[in-house]
Amino acid sequence: MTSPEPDRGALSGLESFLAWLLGRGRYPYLALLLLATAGFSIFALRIGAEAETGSMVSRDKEQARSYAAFRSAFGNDEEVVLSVTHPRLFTPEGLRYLDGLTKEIGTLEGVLRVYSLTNARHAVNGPAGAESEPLVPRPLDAPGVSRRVLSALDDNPKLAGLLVSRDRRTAGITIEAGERTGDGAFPGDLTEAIRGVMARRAGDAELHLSGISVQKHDVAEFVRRDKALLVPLSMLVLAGMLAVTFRSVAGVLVPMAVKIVTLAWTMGAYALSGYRLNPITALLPPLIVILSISTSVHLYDGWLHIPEGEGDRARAIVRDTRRLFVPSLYTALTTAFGLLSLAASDVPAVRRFGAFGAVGVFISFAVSVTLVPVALSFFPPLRRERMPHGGNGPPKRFLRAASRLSTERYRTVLAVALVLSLAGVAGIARVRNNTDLVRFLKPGAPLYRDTLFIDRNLAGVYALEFMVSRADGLPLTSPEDLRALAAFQGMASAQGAVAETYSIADVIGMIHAAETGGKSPRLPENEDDLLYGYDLLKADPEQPFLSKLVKGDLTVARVSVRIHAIGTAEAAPLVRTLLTGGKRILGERYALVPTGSFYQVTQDSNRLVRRQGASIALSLAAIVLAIHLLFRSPAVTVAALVPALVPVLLAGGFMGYAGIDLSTGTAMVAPVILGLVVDNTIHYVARYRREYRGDAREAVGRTTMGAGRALTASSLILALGFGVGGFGSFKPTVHFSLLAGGTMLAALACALLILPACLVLSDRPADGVRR
Amino acid sequence: MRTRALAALVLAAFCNPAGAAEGKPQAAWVRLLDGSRDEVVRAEFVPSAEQPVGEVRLVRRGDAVVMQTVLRTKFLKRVVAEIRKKEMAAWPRDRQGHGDAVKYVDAVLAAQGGIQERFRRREDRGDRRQKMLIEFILSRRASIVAIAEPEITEEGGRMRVVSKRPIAVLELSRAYVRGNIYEIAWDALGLDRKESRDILEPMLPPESPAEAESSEKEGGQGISR
Repeated sequence: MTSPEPDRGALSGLESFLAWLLGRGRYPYLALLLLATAGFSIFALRIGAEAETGSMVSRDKEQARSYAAFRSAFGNDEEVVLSVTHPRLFTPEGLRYLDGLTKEIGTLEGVLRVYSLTNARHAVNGPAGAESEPLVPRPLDAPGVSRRVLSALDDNPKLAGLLVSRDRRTAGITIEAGERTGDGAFPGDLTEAIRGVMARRAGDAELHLSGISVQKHDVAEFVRRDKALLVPLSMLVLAGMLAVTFRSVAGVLVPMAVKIVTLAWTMGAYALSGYRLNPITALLPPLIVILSISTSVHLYDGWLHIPEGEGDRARAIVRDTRRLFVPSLYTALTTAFGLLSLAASDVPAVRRFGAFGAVGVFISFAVSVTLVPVALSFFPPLRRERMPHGGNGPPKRFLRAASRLSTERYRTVLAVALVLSLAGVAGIARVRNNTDLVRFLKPGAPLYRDTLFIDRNLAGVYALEFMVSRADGLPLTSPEDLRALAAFQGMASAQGAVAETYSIADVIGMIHAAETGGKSPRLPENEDDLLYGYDLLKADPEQPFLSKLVKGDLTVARVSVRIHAIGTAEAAPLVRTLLTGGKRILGERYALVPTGSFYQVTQDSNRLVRRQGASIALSLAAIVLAIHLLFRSPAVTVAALVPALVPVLLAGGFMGYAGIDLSTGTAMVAPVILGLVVDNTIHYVARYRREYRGDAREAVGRTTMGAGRALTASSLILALGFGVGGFGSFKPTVHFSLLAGGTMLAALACALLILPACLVLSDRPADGVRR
Repeated sequence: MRTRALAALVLAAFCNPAGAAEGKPQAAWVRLLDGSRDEVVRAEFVPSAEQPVGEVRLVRRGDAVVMQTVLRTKFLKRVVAEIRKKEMAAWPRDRQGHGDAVKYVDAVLAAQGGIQERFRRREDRGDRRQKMLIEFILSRRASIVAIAEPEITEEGGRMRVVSKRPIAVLELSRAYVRGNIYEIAWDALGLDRKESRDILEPMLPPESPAEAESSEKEGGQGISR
């Protein structure tokens, strides 16, 4: 086993540069750094949150084309639902309350239309055929109003499902918002305005608000809240950990300075690129704070161990930095590779997270290898008795025990690792691919409660949208066309998670019944009657339903399948069932295209799994390459991979056993962690190769005792740093943080036990006898 | 549908007391029904120029005055229902002419039924608008209401009747026809009482003073209601 042979010319160049930096270059460097950091900070502090969630949706061309066609034909599919539970809903008092609320919301800026029980119209048979009349007759206190309304609702179960709950205690107000402004926000902040009305008018009623635009609004608020909380909190925690670990001002200040500079530069660059934060990239600031710790901790720890009485402190710092430069560069590379592997994702937010995470890692490396030596040159050396954990304290005893265990019982250690890995693999098989937008939030969040309440009482909160058109491109003007739509709806309604389905066939059925004097909805039997129904809808300014249900030229119909608040694990098979069943019912004569924002989420979730495999493979390949280039030994490369893979398998297994779903957030854990856990391996093996003098056990003992403290410190700091994300507002953030933190602890155990055991096992002494 | 068509035919026959069978107007009325030399005095789209279902025109036809309503709409049934509603409101039971109004309304309803039937059997499936022509004609000797199914073209944004298929001609009282010409002038041409008098009086054939006063007065009452 030979030591790595670094490029002497390059390293002597580095030494010369560092010598200059620690001499005449100190103040110009610090001034430049300060100036650049101040500049980037200005932009970093101005980053806002995305009002739209477009960056969270994949850039699948076919999917995007269908959705654009849908929006162009049927307009905005983002509706807000306000549920109103009133103790006396069907009395004049309750109806007046609902009417007042409906009217006030209708006057808010950004509201296009409001539909509720008190302004809904239905088709009735009149002297000239179908006539549209208010569902709730006026005046509201006229005798028999309640009975007439309830009877009309019983006659129109589809309409009733939209307007009122089955128990007739809760009414729904559907709010259609206008177009968004250029920055993606609704004019006048509609959600806030509606909540203002709710607060003012609540009284006896129980009000709940939900809908995609409300979710977007609240998510943006949570992102802002997390940004304001998590970064300072992780800074505080890391400062505390550094203080406990190094027990010196320099030990806290120097790594913290690296963090602040890295954070400012990376987030400044992010802002300058024109991006805003979303639930995924909101994790970037805490992640950068955490990732920027490793190199500075190792450099500071090396500085602590510069022997007392060393004449030229600056020269010693340069030498120590040079010694750690190559391993630190490779750890930065592997971490960056892990993050860059997320480029395989077609979700822009995930790609952006990976790219800027990698940028942060490189900035952190560059700042660490320059700022740490410069900063340490200002501090006097620590006296031996003041050195942290000197003598025979608990950390040393812990490291000694780890060293003994990994060398004397290396077979047992490896067997246990194998068993745990197999258990991890079994657990991974149980991981469910599920993105649940509502349950991303904590159960205490108002949006979580509101959404589930509305979901329980009214016709579902999500909609899978389908566009149906004739294969020959002709308008859907044949009665057969509407019968096909109705048959598809019938099949969809029979599925468990489906709350209700709506299409033009329902409306035409109601109109035709009213036109011909029938009570139950009934589809026209000839083309003239069907076209007459279309004409009546077109001519009625009070009912703009037609444009929401069928394209202007009548060539494409929308079938909206309202479903309950389920995750993609249930929704994806439902979509498949609807597509298969739909194609069977509609046959070759019609084209059936699924679309809508919820459909996109289900498809992205499926794609996520496939892409995650690619991300892990990319990350792994890059790491193997980096380790092999660094150590130039296949045996060491294999030995280094084992402790890197075991924590990832354990994390995956834990997800399976703990019931943590694979979602947009948690799918990023494996590639990111893979790049991080290998850092310990690189530092350990680099030290091991310097310590190796023909006896693996002795080398392991010296390496564990020498590098073990820095590894333990950096791993604990990383684990706690990630742990701060547990205070995040989104479950994927919490899961990502806790899994990453836990994996860092597992990685430490692997670096101190499994890696040495692998090195002992792979050692080939000259005499061929493994002692 | 067959029942409705039959009813329409029965009603049409019933509404032809003067012996004008459907499609066969009396010879004496041929000149009155010939619109080839019509001189349009005033015209307005109804209910609005933006979404017209038809056009109402005050026409001079020889010595006769014609209040002509050309309807071209997908909602003829509804328009006819609206005509019925307005007619019954303008000519209530206690107003002289109520009986004529009922005959007129019945004839229009029957005509609509017939037009609807022919519409269903049409060969050209392109244009889905149904057409009806109603003319209130008052001359020195005659006071009639003619209902026909026209062929219409557009000229300079206006509707032009190029041919028509007569459906019914009703001979009704002069007071009713004169009164309804006023009603329509106020309702569809947007004229107020003075304007309508200034335009119509010089055109309308002289009446016996008592009848003229009566019909105008009744018309006025009709609109003031």
